[in-house]
Amino acid sequence: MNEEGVKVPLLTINDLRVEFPTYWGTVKALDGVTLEVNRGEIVGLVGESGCGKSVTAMTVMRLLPPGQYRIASGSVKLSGEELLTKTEREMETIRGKRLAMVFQEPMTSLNPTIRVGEQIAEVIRVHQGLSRAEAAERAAQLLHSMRIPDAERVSRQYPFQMSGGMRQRAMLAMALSCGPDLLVADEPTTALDVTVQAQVLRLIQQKSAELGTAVLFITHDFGVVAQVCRRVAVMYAGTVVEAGPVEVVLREPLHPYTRALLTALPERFSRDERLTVIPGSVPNLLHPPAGCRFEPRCPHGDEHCRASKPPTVSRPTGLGEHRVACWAMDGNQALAGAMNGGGVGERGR
Amino acid sequence: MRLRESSSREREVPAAAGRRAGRNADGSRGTVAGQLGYSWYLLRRNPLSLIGLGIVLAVGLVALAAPVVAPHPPDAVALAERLLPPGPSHWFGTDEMGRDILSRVIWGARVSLSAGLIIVGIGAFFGIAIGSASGAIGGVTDTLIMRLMDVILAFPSLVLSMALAAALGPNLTNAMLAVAFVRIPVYVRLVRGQALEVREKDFVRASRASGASGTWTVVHHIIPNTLTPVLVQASLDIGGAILTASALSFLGLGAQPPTAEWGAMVSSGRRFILDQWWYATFPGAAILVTAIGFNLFGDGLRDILDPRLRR
Repeated sequence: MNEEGVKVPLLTINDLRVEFPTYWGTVKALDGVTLEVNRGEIVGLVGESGCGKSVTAMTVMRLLPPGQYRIASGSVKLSGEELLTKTEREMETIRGKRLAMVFQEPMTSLNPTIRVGEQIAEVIRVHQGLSRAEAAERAAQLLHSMRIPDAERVSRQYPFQMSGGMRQRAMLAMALSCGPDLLVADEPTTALDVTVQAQVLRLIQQKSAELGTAVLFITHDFGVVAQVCRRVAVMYAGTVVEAGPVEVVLREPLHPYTRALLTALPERFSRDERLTVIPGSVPNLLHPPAGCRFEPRCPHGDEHCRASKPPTVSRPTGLGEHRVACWAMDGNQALAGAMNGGGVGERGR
Repeated sequence: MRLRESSSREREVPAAAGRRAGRNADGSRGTVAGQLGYSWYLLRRNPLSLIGLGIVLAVGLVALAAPVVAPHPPDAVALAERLLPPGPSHWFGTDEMGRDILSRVIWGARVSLSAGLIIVGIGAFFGIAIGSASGAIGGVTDTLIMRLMDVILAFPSLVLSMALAAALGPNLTNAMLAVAFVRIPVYVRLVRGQALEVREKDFVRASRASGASGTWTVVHHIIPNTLTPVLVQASLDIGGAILTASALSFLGLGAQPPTAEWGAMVSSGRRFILDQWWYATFPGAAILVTAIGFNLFGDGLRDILDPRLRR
């Protein structure tokens, strides 16, 4: 890797705005997403359902349904190369080779009519031009490297003969078959039970370290983030509200949304306590709030927050940059004071 | 689910199925054999489909073995034995040229059966190609293709195939092409509907995400997952195709005399129907039995391949 490769982050998403025109109006699904993933790094992308995590992933992969979306602004760069202007044909040579993806549902992400080994071999044949037999052998090796016992036999099985965990490992084998630079993992363990989830997480970590593959790990589970990620970005209603090293974000969250999320984790409560919730509900993305998108639910929001979007403020920490998009961090002392004084979870006004 | 998917592949490529069965002799042993056993069990539970299977096999065997089974050559003219009623030397009687009707019905099985298979084969082939492309591409192309299919379907199928056959010129090949053409929209609709469903599946996205091109995805992932209903439709269609091809021959637009074709035989026997009932009756009965056989067999196949419709 040259000097420049070290400096340029592997993946740079800058001010990405993606819209979906519908009959009822334009859904502003992503509203200025900014995110970086460095080489070999595992970055978590956290947020609740519908906040734009998957749209971000699909935009990076350029797999959103053609003709049904609009990229209003922004850029997505892989090693400094713009992906948004690539043709479909160029993307086909990048997908699978430099960019790979695993999906949430291992039950449906393998073709039921094709043997697992053949499906993995397919990717190898597309990108490495190996013969059928060589690719089949390579597929079995890959399954073996995913800690699948008796990989030879498993590679000749159909997906229905495998358990969810095995299928997700097979998906990983497929995604990692060409040693991609970046793996986009869209909730890869959500559909698995807890013990299998732990195994698959460990596997992803090991493979990432072994192959030098960076991972954009999409999840809604802070526990998983704490376990595997080095950095984390928290999304809310199409924007990244806070991003930074996992230790920093989880210990000293600065954005009111992150704080509210962390205080609402069920693990923090004893049996007979009531769980805290974030009041209100996710904004309608057809008519999102003009200012800060979290303002209607924020305990500290004021006129200022309602009027205009908060800028992203960066502060250095020992572990790396910590970025927050909140007016309270931008010199609004009254707001900052209220946040640090008042309790989170109840509306202050 | 498991049964549906893999048995459709077996039936699709019998040679590959054999290879698979052989390779399966490991830990997953017995899955293919087990599925065949289960299919047999379902078939046996439904005596009508078993009868259908019997008829299909019998007609197929007779057609294959026609030169051996037929007591006389199909076009051996014996003017001394004209219009003989059924008897020990001519079980089904003879026609106005003294030809043995039984032998002609037996040879006719070849014509009718191959006509049925070819018609359905052409229809299904183009139906799969057009339907999967239409479903995968979507948008304006899809709309145009489907409206065109609607236009074809809007005509009564027999009338349209008659017109086509007449325009192409009356012979058996053209009649088959005409009937096949009219069947295409049925398969296009079927495959497109399936393709629309399959293309939203995660494994299609996963294939795209690993760099497969659109065409590759259609051929490797979408088409194999649409074949089951096509197979059922095709098996149900063969009976109808034989019927329509015979109808065209009956109307003089298909097989021409002296070809031993059931529809053409019924047509020439029509003139004698009041006095020599056997002439038109036996070829007609052959059409009836074969069409019923394929329909019953198709119902049974659907029960095996589509668990959701299983009673």
